[in-house]
Amino acid sequence: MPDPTDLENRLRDVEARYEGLLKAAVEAIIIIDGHGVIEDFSSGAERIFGYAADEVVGRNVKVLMPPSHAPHHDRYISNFHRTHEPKIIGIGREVEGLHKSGRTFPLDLSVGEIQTPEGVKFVGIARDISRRKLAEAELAEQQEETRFIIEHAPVGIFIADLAGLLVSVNPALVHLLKAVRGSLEGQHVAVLFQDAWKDRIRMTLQRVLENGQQGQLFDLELACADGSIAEVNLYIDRVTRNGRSDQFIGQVIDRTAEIMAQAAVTRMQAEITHVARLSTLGEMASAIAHEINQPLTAIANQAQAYRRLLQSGRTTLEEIGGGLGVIAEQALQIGQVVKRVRAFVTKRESNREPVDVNQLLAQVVELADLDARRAQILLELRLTDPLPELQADSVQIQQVLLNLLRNAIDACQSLEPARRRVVVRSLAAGDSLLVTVADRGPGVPADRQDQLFLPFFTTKAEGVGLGLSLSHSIIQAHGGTLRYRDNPEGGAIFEVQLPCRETIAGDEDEAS
Amino acid sequence: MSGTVYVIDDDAAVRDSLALLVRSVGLESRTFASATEFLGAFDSGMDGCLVVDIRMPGMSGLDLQQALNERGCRLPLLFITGHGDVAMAVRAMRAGALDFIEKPFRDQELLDRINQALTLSAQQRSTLAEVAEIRARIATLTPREREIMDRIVAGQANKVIAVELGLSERTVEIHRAKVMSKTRVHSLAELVTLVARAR
Repeated sequence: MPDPTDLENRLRDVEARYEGLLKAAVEAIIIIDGHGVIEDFSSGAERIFGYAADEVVGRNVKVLMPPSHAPHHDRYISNFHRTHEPKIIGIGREVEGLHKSGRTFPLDLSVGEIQTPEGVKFVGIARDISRRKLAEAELAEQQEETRFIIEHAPVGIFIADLAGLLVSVNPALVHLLKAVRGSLEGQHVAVLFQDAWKDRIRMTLQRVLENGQQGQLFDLELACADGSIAEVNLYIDRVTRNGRSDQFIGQVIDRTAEIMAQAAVTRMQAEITHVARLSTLGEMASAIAHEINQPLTAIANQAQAYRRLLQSGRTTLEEIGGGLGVIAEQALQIGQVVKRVRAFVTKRESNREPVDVNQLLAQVVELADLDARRAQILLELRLTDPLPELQADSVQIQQVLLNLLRNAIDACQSLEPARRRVVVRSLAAGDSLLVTVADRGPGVPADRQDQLFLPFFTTKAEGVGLGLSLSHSIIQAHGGTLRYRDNPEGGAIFEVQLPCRETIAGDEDEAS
Repeated sequence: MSGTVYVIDDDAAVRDSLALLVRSVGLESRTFASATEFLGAFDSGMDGCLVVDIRMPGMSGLDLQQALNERGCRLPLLFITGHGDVAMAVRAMRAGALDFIEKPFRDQELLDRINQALTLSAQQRSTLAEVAEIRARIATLTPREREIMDRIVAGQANKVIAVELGLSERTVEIHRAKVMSKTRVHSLAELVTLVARAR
């Protein structure tokens, strides 16, 4: 027989424990009877639902549920009573709660069954999971944003596992490859590229795998599904993620637009050069006409004179023979002038070829001499032979040299005869070659030297100011420099420096 | 037709062909490679005409024309040019050029101009010779005879001349007869014409 005092003590002890439990638990602990009427409402429950215990004790637990849910609760309870099949009991699930303020919020609810002498009761333990839900929603949103960016990025992006097998490929890359969505996943990254590049792709993946630094490959060729080729640059990174295995992320940048733009620039430069040549020729037209007209006049005069001499019988066959020889020579001289002019204006595509700069200079001097001779200006060539071979567009370089030479000739026009001299030099300087054109004219004042190569800068009354600016951009396009310096003897020196061994920039894998 | 055609052109081929053309019609020619060279050889006794290239390095054709004008050279001057430069042609013609021919030209065109120039030159020469002869006649007069001739030509009557110079009318008449015989004229009208030409 148990001691009543002891029994009472034990009862008190259980009650105290029970009270303590209800107070201390962070969770809401709610006990309802078999009909859903609240009997106990813990401190946690007060905090979570916003009601004081005495406000809800004795009311149906539905008061804590949103109106959409509450009507079903009675059915849950009666179902349980009938079938004893728990839908929620012992399992726990996510439900919605209704705060006193009318706000609904997510709850993680578990329910237990208590058999008491008064019949079945239920204990519900609920946790407010608003924060967790919010964080989950934020994460999902971030993931969605990332997915959106990758889906819509103009850059081709792929994700591959560390074996190099594609996990996902974004639409831009699928489009670039002219492939069907979903057809690429599971294949090796190298498959996307032309055969010649496959080994380098594998090596680069290996290197990125080992040292974790970004791998960069330039001017690669994609093997498109339709058999065509697309030129791209490729950047590969290894990404580490929490709790998941590392992956490769690759970015594939289409160079088609860039290559087309480059081609357009090259084409345009060729056009401008051609126009500049025509305009140079226009400026030289008077000199050219003179150069043709002189021998033409001599021919006409001689032919007419010999006809008269022949008619009057005051000549010999020998004399006429000699005269015809002179006439023929002069006609050929005209032909030479025409040939020089035509060679200069012939339009052709811009292309790099081996160029003998000395030979180019000799041709240019011949042409510039049309101007120089009339003004009694001496053109002096001091060539270094042989020069290192240059890869260049000969027509463009010729245009630059002619332009410099004609500027120098112009600068000499008003000088005393002794100073009317233009000296053209070619020199070898290590891996580059130099051409200098020196005159003893007025030179360029110090305060205007920095504008010298700007478009539309000119000191000439009839000049447009494009010659030097065009020359400057042509030389730059050849990787060289065009510079001005004062001539120590007075006057101007223009110096063209051109590299003879062209290095192809950016073709090396920079991952190592 | 007499007289020499002086060809001045810096272009040897053109210069020689011009000389040949001139020779083909039986005329004399002398060639010069520059204006300076011609000026060096110039003397006032030269007879004929000049064919000059208007554009030459150094001293141009126009410069030469000016230098010759300054030296009182009356030789007719033909310019040849490679450019139809109107401004230059106007300048040349104003300065007394006979013509301005564009290269290349028909031989007849140039030869006609050369003939014109040589005719003109010959006329100028004969006129000059005549004037010189008249001046020589006038130079034989004494100062008093010269003074009286000037007054006669100015239209003064013997009586007026006598009063103004304080001479007798008779003395004036004697001087007047001397003037007429020394200048070899027979009437007052002839004397007036003669003096006008000498001036």
